[in-house]
Amino acid sequence: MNARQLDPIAEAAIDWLVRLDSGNASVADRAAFAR
Amino acid sequence: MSASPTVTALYLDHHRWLHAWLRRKLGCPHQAADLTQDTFVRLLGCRDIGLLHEPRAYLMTLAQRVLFSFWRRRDLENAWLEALAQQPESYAPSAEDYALVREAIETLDRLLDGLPRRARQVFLMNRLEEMTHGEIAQAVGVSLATVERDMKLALSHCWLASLDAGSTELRR
Repeated sequence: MNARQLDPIAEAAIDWLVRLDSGNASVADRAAFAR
Repeated sequence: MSASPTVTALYLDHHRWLHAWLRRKLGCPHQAADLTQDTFVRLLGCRDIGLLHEPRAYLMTLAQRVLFSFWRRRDLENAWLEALAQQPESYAPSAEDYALVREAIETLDRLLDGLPRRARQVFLMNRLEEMTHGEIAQAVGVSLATVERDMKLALSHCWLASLDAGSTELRR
């Protein structure tokens, strides 16, 4: 496992990826991401 | 690229021995010749080789790494060929597509190396089989929160591994 820490921007981007690619992302999620 | 006198000396002194060692491991003189060359190419990137006390031990360590990479690539290629064999006969990738897929598989394998088995499985189900988190949770027998945690772990791992790979390239 990689022991390094993510920087906050990369972590936020990954959180978005997980949320948007979950298969359950709503229109509101996508709109929030676009903003 | 011109080799340093030390690498040249190591090549002249140990090339034949290393080729014989690799030939015993592989059972094929041609593959052994390729991997012998790969080992000396790796040697070009190593620092402080002028200080080697046990050059053959050092060369053998490098050659083992080259050998493991070779076996790993061969295993991946065999898995890809088996997957291809399951496809309809009409599906025949071009040589270019074949090379691209092979490279993509090797990259993915490198990025996912070291990740826990379940997180790797969850990630591949989502990315390659386009399964939703809910479908994955049901198939794997874990909660939705666990799938989300595994996905985040896998993406973070890939991101950090790609940074490491980038910095390694820069150091070459």
